[in-house]
Amino acid sequence: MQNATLTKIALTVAVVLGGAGFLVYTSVDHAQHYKMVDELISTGDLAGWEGKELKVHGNVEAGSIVEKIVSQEQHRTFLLVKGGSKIRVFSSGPKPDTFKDASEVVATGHLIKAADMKGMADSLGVKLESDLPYVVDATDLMAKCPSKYDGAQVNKNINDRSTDNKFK
Amino acid sequence: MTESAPFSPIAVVGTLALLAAYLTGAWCIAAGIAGNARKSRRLVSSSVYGLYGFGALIGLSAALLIYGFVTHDFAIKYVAATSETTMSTWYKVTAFWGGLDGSLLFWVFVLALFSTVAIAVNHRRHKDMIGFVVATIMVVQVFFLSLLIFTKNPFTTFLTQAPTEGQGLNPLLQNYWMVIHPPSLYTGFVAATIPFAFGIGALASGRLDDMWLSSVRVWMLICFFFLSFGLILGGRWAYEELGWGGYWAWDPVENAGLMPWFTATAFLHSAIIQEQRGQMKVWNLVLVTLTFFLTIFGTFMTRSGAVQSVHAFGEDNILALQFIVFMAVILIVSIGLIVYRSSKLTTLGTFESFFSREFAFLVNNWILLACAFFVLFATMFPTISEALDGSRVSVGPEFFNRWMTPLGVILLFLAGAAPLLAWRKTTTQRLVNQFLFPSAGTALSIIVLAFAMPQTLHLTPIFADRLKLPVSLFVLATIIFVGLSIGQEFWRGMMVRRRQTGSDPFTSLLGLMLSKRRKYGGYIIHLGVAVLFLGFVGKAYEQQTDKTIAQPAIVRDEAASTRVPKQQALAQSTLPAGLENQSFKFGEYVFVYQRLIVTSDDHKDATTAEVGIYLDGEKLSTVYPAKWDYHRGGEQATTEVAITVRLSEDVYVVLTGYEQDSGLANFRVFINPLISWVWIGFCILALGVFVCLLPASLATYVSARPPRTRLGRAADTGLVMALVIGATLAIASQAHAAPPASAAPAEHLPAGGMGMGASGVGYAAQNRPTNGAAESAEKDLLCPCNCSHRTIFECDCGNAAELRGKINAMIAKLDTSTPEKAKVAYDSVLADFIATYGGEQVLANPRSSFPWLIPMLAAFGAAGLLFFVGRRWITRGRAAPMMTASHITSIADEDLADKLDDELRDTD
Repeated sequence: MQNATLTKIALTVAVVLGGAGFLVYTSVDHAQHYKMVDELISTGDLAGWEGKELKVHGNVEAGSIVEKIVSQEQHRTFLLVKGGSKIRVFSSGPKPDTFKDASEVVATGHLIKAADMKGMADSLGVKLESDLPYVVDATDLMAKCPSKYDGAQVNKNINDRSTDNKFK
Repeated sequence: MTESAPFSPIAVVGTLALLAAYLTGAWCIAAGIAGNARKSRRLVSSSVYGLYGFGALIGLSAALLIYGFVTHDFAIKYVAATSETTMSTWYKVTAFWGGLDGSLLFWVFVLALFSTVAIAVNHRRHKDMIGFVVATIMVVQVFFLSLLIFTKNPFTTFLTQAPTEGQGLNPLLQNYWMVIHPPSLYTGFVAATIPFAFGIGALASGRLDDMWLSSVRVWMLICFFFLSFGLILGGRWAYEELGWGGYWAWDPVENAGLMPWFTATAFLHSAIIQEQRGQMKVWNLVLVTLTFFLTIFGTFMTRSGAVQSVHAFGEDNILALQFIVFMAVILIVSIGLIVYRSSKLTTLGTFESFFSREFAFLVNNWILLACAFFVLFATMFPTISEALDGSRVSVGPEFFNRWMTPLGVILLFLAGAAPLLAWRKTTTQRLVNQFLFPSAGTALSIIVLAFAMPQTLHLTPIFADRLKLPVSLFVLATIIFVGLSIGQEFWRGMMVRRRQTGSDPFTSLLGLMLSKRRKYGGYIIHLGVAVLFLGFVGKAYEQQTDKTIAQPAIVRDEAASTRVPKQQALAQSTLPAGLENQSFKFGEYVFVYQRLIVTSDDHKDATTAEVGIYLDGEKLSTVYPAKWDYHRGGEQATTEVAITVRLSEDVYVVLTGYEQDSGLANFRVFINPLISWVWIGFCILALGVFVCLLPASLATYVSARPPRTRLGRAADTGLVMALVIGATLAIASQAHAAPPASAAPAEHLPAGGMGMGASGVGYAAQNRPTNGAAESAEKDLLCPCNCSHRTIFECDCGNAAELRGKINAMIAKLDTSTPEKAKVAYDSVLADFIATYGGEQVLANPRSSFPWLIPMLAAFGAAGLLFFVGRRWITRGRAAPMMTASHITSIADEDLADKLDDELRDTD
């Protein structure tokens, strides 16, 4: 094989490998980890997750939702539970229509020290739990509704029309 | 009358047609391969005619399924699952592709249609390989058909009792964008099969000259257009319907459509290099294979549940396995054939200079491929990470934007630079001559932008966090560069043509575009892409806020003495004072929450906020963001956003929550700068594609006739361009038209005397049918109010309510105790209506076929007329050039014309 061809191949391989390596390297900064509440708590090392973007999945503990409007913005806090573990979530702005006690929620946000949210907790009149040193500062709440886009699925339980009983 | 028993003749005939098509397809594969391998013309012809027969059978199946939807044949499971009787006919027809089973049939149908046209046009030209082409297409068809027949048959009927009413289509999908977005994407996906089949045909037959390329270029352009159209329509749907303020979220389903778009675009460029320079033969074959592979992979990725998506089609392991096997076959056969034919695929010569058009195209190909692989990697990231360490890790839209923005800017720069470069090598003198004006203009605009709009200097990270650049400024400068370079190309081309023909600038410009449609159509597409980028830049300056307002300006049950003056104040064009607690300022706008309106009709409960938007104290618009809770739509309400469209920015208001009793409402407001330019950019892109696809005969006709007068000539060319633009707008206006929220309040307002109030005492709620016979009669009689061909059962006008009362009264007097007697009662009601209103036009489904024949005959007559007029026009167009042969030599061969153009420019 000619030297020129070898150089071309070597250069192409270097560019492709370099690009791929850089891609993987940059992807690490943007990784959003998806954890169930108990999965997150059981890692034991919550400090290690501090500041990282997380999606935390659990159920809203009944009676734990506290909401208040502060200068035209709705603030809220609630406890997210799963498998006996719990974590407190703070969020502002809109909430899903199906967000209520016991509903299944995925909170996207960052894990921060509970002390950092003391001001917001006080304004909402909520006492922070001493055994929960970290809370989730959520930017987005998503109610789990896996069948949202599937017409047949959404409507599967709604075949209750009683009017169309031709000639019976 | 629809039978409610689980037997359906439509289902039987439909399934038989599919089975017959399956056998025909299998025969076509065998005959096509054997025919070309043994050089048997009879076998090849047999496979070609088999393909036509296959198309007819699939057409019959598709027609039967649509007929099943229109006639409410709920014995068919698919019809029962995706439609209901009260849906409008339009949605019933489009429910055809509303679910997986139907969309697979739709796929096969569109491919049958495309392949019939492609084979009919090419089978004489490519006798040596057409059998292989037919066989390849039929392998794809048989694969999808086997999915249809064995696992997803849309004609499957209920084994036991069929339901008497369907479940209906998800309300989110009952939207005009959704009606055209999926078929458009499918059409793009399907069109990629034709180039792939010709590529495989060329490889299998060993005919690896440029013949196959010329046959597939048009199909790849169609694929490119429909993918673009589908992607932009999907974006528009998300923007209007989902209420998160954006049009693109890098969702796996969106990405599935984008990946083949990149490779199709790459092919459209690299095919030109092979035509012009005889290079990149293997590359082109790889690109057609990759484009086709990515369409199948995209379908697999989203339909099998391999990747999590908001579209959530659900996991289906069997389907996933079938797709994996099929994809493996595609890769093995394609790569195997390329290796087998490698000796015939040697390239002539190499690139002579970095400053050549072919090198610019090569870089464009690398970047497009990099884009495709980046999107693939990031989309598959959760799947890859789960496979590697078991944890579910995803990457957000931010990661996509960081990589795609710089790659996109390089592509955009090339869209402006490549047209300025010459083939082989650009001399220094020409480089200066071509680049001086666009570069100087761009440099000047960078300075002006930096001073006049300092916000463009905002630093944005690209690739990694630490690498920050004023990306907006770069993008805007590149857009200007593209605009100037394309503008210069048009200007110089027009001047050359003016000297050649002596015509006026307008005629010269149109003549130039018509004579070199591919070249200048391509430039228009580049311009459209630049305008699209202008829309993308706006994303960086998007603003969003959430506000909660405890009470509207006009409170429910408020005394008239206080309510009326407030209403009058709010109706004024200026911002009323004293509404601080009911308003908020965001950006330059003041939003006043005027009132909360609660309405309901037969389908849904609607809660609508009336919001006044003021700019500089003057009322800009009144918008009606709402939440609709469909009675049959499950637990989730749909969000109806209100968008005030301006060329500079959209004001996008979402009602994110409310309390009916107190009137409290949560709003999320987005200010989306420049977003309208995304839709406008697409319209320009579509215009470019239409120019590229204009038939040569039409262009020749206009260009070749001897000019009677300059004015007459300009009128001719103007007419053709008006047709092109008209056709483009007719299709693309959907993407451009953002219905101003203020134009649609009627839907949201309490409907006065006509409507259905919250108490459910509106006309639609009056005189509901008292029994099955009355209901059947009402469903089979049209309302005389002429409101969209609705039946008396569906219609919400006063006439319908009165007629329902009349039917109820008639039925009450008759015996309906047994099904037979009920049928007699039903018949007597219909007979009475026919007698009273003078004919069968009162019936929703006329018994006589005559009324149906009239529109059918009219449609066929119009098509026939068009055909004859068009043919005559084209024949005249062909005859004309014979008289002026010397004139058309410059346009008959586009390549020659291109070279001539280049040479002429060099002598300028």
